[in-house]
Amino acid sequence: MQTRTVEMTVNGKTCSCSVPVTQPLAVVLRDRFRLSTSISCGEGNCGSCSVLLDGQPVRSCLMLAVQASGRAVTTVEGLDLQLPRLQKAFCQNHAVQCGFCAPGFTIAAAALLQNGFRPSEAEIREGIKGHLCRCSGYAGLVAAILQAAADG
Amino acid sequence: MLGKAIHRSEDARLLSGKGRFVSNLQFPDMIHAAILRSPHAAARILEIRTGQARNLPGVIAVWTFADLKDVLKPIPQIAPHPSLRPRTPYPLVDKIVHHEGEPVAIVAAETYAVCRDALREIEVRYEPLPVVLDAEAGLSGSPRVHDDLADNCAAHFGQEAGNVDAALADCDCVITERFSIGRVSAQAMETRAVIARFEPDASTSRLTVWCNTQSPHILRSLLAQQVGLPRFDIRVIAPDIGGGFGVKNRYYPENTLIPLLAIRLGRTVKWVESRRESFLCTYHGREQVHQVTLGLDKTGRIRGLRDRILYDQGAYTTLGIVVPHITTISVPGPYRVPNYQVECTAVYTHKAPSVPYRGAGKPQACFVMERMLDAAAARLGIDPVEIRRRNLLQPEDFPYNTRLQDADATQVLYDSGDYPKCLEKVLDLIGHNSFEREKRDAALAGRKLGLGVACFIEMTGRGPYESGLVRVEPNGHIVVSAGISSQGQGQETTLAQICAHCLEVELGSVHVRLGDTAAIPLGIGVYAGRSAIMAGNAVALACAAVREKLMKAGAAILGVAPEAVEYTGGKVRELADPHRTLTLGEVAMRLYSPALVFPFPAGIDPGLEALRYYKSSRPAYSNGAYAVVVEVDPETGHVKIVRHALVHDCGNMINPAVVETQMTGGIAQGIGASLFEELQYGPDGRLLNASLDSYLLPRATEIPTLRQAHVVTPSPFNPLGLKGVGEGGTIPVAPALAAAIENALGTGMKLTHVPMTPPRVLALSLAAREQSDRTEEALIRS
Amino acid sequence: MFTYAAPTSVEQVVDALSEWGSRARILAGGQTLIPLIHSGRLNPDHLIDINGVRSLDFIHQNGDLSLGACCRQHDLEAFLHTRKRCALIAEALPLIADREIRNRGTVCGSLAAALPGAVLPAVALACNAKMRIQNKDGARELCATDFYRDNGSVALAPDEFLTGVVFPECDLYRSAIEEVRYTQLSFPACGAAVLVDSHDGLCSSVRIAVFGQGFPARRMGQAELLVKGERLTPQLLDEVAVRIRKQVRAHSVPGIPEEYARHVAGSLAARAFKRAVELSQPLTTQVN
Repeated sequence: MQTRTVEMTVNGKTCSCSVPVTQPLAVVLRDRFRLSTSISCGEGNCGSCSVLLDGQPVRSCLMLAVQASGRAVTTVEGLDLQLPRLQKAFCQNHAVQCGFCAPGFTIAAAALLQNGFRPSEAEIREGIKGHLCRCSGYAGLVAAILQAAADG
Repeated sequence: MLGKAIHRSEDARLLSGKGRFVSNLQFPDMIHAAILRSPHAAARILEIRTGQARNLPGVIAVWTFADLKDVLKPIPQIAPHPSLRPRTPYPLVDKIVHHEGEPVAIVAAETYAVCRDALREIEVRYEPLPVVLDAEAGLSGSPRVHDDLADNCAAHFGQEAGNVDAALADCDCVITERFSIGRVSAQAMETRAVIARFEPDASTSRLTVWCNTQSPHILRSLLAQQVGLPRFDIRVIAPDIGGGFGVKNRYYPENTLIPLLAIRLGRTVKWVESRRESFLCTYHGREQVHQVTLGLDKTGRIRGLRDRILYDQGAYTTLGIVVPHITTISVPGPYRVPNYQVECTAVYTHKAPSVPYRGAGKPQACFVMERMLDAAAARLGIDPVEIRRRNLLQPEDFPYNTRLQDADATQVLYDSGDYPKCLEKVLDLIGHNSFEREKRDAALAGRKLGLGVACFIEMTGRGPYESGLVRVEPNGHIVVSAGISSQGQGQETTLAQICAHCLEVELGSVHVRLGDTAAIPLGIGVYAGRSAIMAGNAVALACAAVREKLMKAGAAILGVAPEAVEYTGGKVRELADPHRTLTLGEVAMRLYSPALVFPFPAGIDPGLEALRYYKSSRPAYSNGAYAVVVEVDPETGHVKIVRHALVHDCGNMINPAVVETQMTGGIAQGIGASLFEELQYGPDGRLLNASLDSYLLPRATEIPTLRQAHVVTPSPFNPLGLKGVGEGGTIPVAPALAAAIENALGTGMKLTHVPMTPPRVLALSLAAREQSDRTEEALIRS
Repeated sequence: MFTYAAPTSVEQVVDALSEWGSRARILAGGQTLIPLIHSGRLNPDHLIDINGVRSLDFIHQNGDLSLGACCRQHDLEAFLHTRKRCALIAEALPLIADREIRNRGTVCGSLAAALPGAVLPAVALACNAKMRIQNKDGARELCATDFYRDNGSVALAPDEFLTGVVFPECDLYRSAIEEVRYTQLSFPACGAAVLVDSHDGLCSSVRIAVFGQGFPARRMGQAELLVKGERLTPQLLDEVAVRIRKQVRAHSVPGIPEEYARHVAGSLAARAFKRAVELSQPLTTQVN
């Protein structure tokens, strides 16, 4: 089994680890780094595993860990500035039920609201359509992101 | 505390990425398991060769039925019924495969990647057998799904209230229709997962199993039978669960296999279901065919209804006839049906078992009743809303005896409700009065809008019991437990609200611990909208007992008679001298004191806790009305939901926000099953769309924000006056959407299959256009 | 289990392909390839990650629009958005999956994969795009209409790969894309990409490429002939739809019967054609 050493920054900390080349980034984040990355389908259809890669949202199950070499990866745990505002909005709007998809939606919301962008409801729905939630029907998530945008 | 939409205590951890999901749990020394599954829906296994797989580096074990035949037993049939000819699977297939995805071999290895490689090395020779893929075909009896049964009939049952033949013979209007509801998959965001650890020297339970199950205690009992350990030697933990929806309530083969691996290999074993496996072998829901006859008088009042149901059971009777039986007693719904006769045949097919999936038989029943009313409205020239008004049960009809019997032979009694009020309110919310004008204006702009409405009821809070445990700790904090686990419905918050209310304490001092057989000895679990009613009332009973003990013990500590104290605001207070008070913590301190000085008076035991069981055999009936406006693209059949509204009555609400999010989520699943979701099989019985890019779940772009309002008619059937909410949203969506689509296209009642995908809607659109072209032509010619 | 190589030049990629041929796959965005491997539909022995080949990471516009194989869908989207050029491609890109997929997915990756229902192959066909292909014998260019075969495969041998694509100047044409997708994140059930050369409703020529989950992306030559020199009328639209329905060869996929796909491909092509012709914005006539 071929392995490679990957040097990347994860939530602001540089790390160097040896990973099997076949391993997706999502698996390394969840199992090696014990971070909040959920893996729900492994094929890019649900958005549960999304992270920020150099500040841009991507599906971490669709990247090999070795491809993150030299890049900065941010999970929910690394969203310092935005997280409290997002958590407050999600909580106040009862956006989350089982919580399994929450990390992915949090990343998607953080990405959507970057640079002070204030999306409309339609833009929010379009912006999060890559993320599946089976519990909530999305209403609370949309309301939360609208609120977080207004608070920002 | 009750009735307040407070924020959920669960959110603190779930929104920080600290949710404890079994699929994410890691243990030192953990190994992984993976399962080889039959690619055939029906087959005889001729030979299995595991030698190559066993030799791969990192592989620890490869087992087939032959390796475990001394220990494997069929999974117990837990829902017996006199009419049922049950069949349940073994945890590994012995000789005959009965549905695609059945487990044929299991591998344990150091890493999941090695497991996957090992699976590829296992060679299985199958002899494919002929398949039965639908209930109607299965009725013929050939081929047979189970060779040792005479045919494919899993069960046949029915009942009658009144005299339908006589009623139908004497009606002004008789309508007959056939409806079919497609098969769906629950598709929770977290797939199933099991972790097992066996510690032969542990002093408490030697076998610990983490499983995202909706019923930890039931799982424990069945697991005990399966692995031959006593119940007390097993602990089942269901921590955070990423969605359940009914299908995580069943006992699956992996629930036996993973613990067996742990016991025999002496390692902690983890198995996580892949997304594809969740389609193949997490059990399915819904598939039914109804042949219905409805008789009405010319004012549109129902005189009689007959329904013949075929239920596609799948290969095994995992939960007996529970789902189709619920359908049989739910068809009349919120309406007065003076004569009703129903018959149901459950048929074995070579598909995964069909089990309760959110709604559990009620969505199908509502679809049938509402569609028949729409058909009758069209036939009789009565407005579809008006025909419902004329048939809805009225407030003065309650408690209403349907004269039907539930599967446990209890009478089906509706407790309370104001059905007409919900209907009127939803019409208001959706803008019914101004809709004709809205529709005309849209038509001028070339857009086809339509409106549809459906009324529904929801049986909730099935018994027979649930447990509640309340314990006051010496620091004044309160620990609450119940025999349920949570899949995100907010029970940690709502049960805390009940406790805080009953014991008059700060919410923050209540800690709810669910999903652990070590936290409470007995329990049933979460399904059929029972958490609030059953666990809620159990916790309330336990709180009442704690409160009573607080007063007795408090009085004894204060040195006064029990009648000389009161309990208010979280304190025991001497009536004659109100400055003399004791907090809960102070009372608990004495009752748990390590100093052993407190003299325990007669009638007072140590500790300050109570375990209570709330027992009930009378479900409470929630109800509501749902309305939807759609826009239909007549050239593509695409349906867009423009807006929708729901008015719902679940009696007293512990937390209105929790109620509303349950309803929104249920509606979303209803929309999925109505417009997008259907499992599709090839002629060989293999699933064609076992992935999220071909089995489509609705996204944020498909579901506009639901307008919601509530009506409150408390239930007289339980002390807290609660009615459940878990399933309601799934029930009325399909018929309301069907009616809205037909309204947009200007057709009569034509949509009789769920889901109503674009091809089906396009067919309707083209037929409608052809019809209107012909009408136009005729007009021009005349 | 596959091996992983991360070459830094086109030559190294070609060498690897020459050695491994069909046992290897090019990894660019990974948004198509990784799901295929995860689901077991593909089981390559070797992955060749081209993300480190700098010379493939470019977008040039000089009349024609030229991209390298590492050009991300999102980057092209942003490029075209600022410049307000290439309306057909600019309309297509936001239709692809969602932003996260487009942040990694490459234009060329999507073009080479030619997944049923993908919109970019249809766009390439409508634009008469030139596919740049490299193998050990050197570089060659192939027109999209030759690259995409009737049977759904692409004209790429196992030892070659798509290094880039050139979209010829197309700002003189009006364009539109119409699709039907069941949910807003599914692949379209079917759709049509249309480029039309027209003035005041009089059409000199049109290019229509249909796509869908049940059939490979194709140009509808027969329908295109109908339009030449014609004025846009309801009858012409109907004829176009009917001709396309006759020409499309679809097979049924779960949830999308072939009669539906054929019928709607025709309707959507007509709809796209009409919308393109009736576009009111002035076109950019300036090249560059």
